[in-house]
Amino acid sequence: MTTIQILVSGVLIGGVYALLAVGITLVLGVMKIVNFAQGELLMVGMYLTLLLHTVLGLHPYVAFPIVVVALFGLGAGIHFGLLRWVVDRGHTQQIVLTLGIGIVLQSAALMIFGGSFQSLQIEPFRGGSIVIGSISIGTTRLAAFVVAGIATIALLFLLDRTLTGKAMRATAMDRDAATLMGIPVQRVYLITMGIGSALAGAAGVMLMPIYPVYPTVGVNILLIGFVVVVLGGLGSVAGAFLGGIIIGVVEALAGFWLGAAMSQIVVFALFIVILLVRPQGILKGDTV
Amino acid sequence: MSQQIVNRSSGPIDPMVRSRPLPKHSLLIGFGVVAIALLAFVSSSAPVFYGHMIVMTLIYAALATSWNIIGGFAGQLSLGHAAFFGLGAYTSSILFVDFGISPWIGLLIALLGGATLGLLIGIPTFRLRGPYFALATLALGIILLNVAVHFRELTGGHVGISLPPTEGWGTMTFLNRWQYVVIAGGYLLVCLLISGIILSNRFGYQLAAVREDEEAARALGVNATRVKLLAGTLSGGLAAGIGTIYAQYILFLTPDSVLGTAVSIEIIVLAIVGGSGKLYGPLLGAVLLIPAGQLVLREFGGALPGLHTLVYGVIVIIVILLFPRGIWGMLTDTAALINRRRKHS
Repeated sequence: MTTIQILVSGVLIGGVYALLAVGITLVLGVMKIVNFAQGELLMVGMYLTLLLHTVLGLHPYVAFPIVVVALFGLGAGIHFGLLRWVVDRGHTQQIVLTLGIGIVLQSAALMIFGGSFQSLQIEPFRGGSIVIGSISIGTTRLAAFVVAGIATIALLFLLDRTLTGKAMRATAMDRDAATLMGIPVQRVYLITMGIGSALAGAAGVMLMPIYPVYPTVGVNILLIGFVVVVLGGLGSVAGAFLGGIIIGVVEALAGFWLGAAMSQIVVFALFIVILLVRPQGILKGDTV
Repeated sequence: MSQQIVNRSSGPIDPMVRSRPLPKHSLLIGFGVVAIALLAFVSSSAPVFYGHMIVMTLIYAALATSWNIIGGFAGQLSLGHAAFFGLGAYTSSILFVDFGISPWIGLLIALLGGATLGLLIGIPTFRLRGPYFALATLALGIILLNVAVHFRELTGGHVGISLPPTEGWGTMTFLNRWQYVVIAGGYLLVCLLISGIILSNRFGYQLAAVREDEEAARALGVNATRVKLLAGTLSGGLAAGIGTIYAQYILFLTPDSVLGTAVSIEIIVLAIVGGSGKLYGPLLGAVLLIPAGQLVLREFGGALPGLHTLVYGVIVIIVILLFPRGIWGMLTDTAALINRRRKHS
């Protein structure tokens, strides 16, 4: 029974990983940039949720649209001010630039909020859980999972059924050809970076009632996010969602059987093996 | 500067090295020895803060210079160089504390260990290109970090290892700072010398070719895998060696202080800001950023924690956007431009 309980927890926390990873994979697929600031964007989302709660008394789930829109703006702003200039440059420059952006966001959070762990206490949700047989499901975790699923489906719909999505897919496939077809590539990048950032914000909101926030909270989650992205296949949205759940489960089971540090070793060793053996990921064929 | 064609778009090769390799290296040794002697003299009488600043700058300069061999010369972005640094620090410290082996022998074993790790990691990962390689090395760093956390009996886990303060050259432990300046400075000089020799040799050209276009390099008969492996081995070994020196200086190790992702990122920041792929780029980066960071930390660390890393982040962003070839690259470009203007007028 314990195993099933852990399995369920793993699947649910995998939803948050998926939400973050979908954002990374989208930016990577369309812009070909590995965004190392994605974890810090999630951190910003968490602090923003906390701030809206403590200052305005907003429930995190009510604050959700505000945070998502704010993070979309932040992401679009980062593209407009900074990333725009390195889209044509090599990977090293892009990675180091996003690392720099991450350092700035992290330091700013440390200066504003201090380094201590802060968590959100909301009574109706705190400790709330649904019990089925001997398995209990935390309501906040379940909510995070459901939102992750909805966000992924919505993104797939956007990519598959709308003109904006079509432009994004075209840009992902061949930037020059897309430009020749009259697609405003820079605007597509702006939207892509905005959506990627908004997804990190969504993950931040859903994580806030589950996990305490501190300035470097994004670092470890980002690393898990990369594992998920590679597992799912770089640029594949559906793969990232599936990968998030797989990594959530693997981490939870390995953590239970082998301990926290060992579970990290297992997850990242798995990561290197996937990179070497199946770099195209579990789902072949790009969705983006 | 003779009539050499300066390849401005790429090329790590300084025209002076190309024309006369030997005098340049002896110049480097001469300057280096004098600089180390001066710094040692200064650090013996300077306040603790400045002495510490000098040693840390030298240690990080050596670390960034060792990263530069694989990250700069070969153009393979290693995001996990703390793995080598930490491996060196832990290897010599465990040998010293548990087995009483002198850190000097520990240093040699660390060099070999780092080189072996560089080789072993390189064999599978050098097949990966671009961001894949960066992500694989990042994972390697995290794995080693967690290995250090997990195997408590050997590494002390999160508690870390404290080294005994038994002073003397045999134990590489000193109460004063000037000895550390001599050791770390000497090590940095060795790293620079090895880098200089690489750049002025065939090996350096091969690395540059692989960095600029691996397919083309292979087509021209460069054994890309072999040269990358050699660069990775050298880079890993040198990074591990400075880890031992760091451990002997701080006398206290935790997984996060030597194996943390923050260490890996700091190395890259120093090299990129200074100018990766340039012989003196990482050194310049360390000389500019480490003292600046420590000064900001001392002045504002209490009131505004995070300001020194904020400054770091802003500098990284500015350098990437405005001086993609680093500050060293910007300076040499400007110098070349002025030179050309003067000739033409």
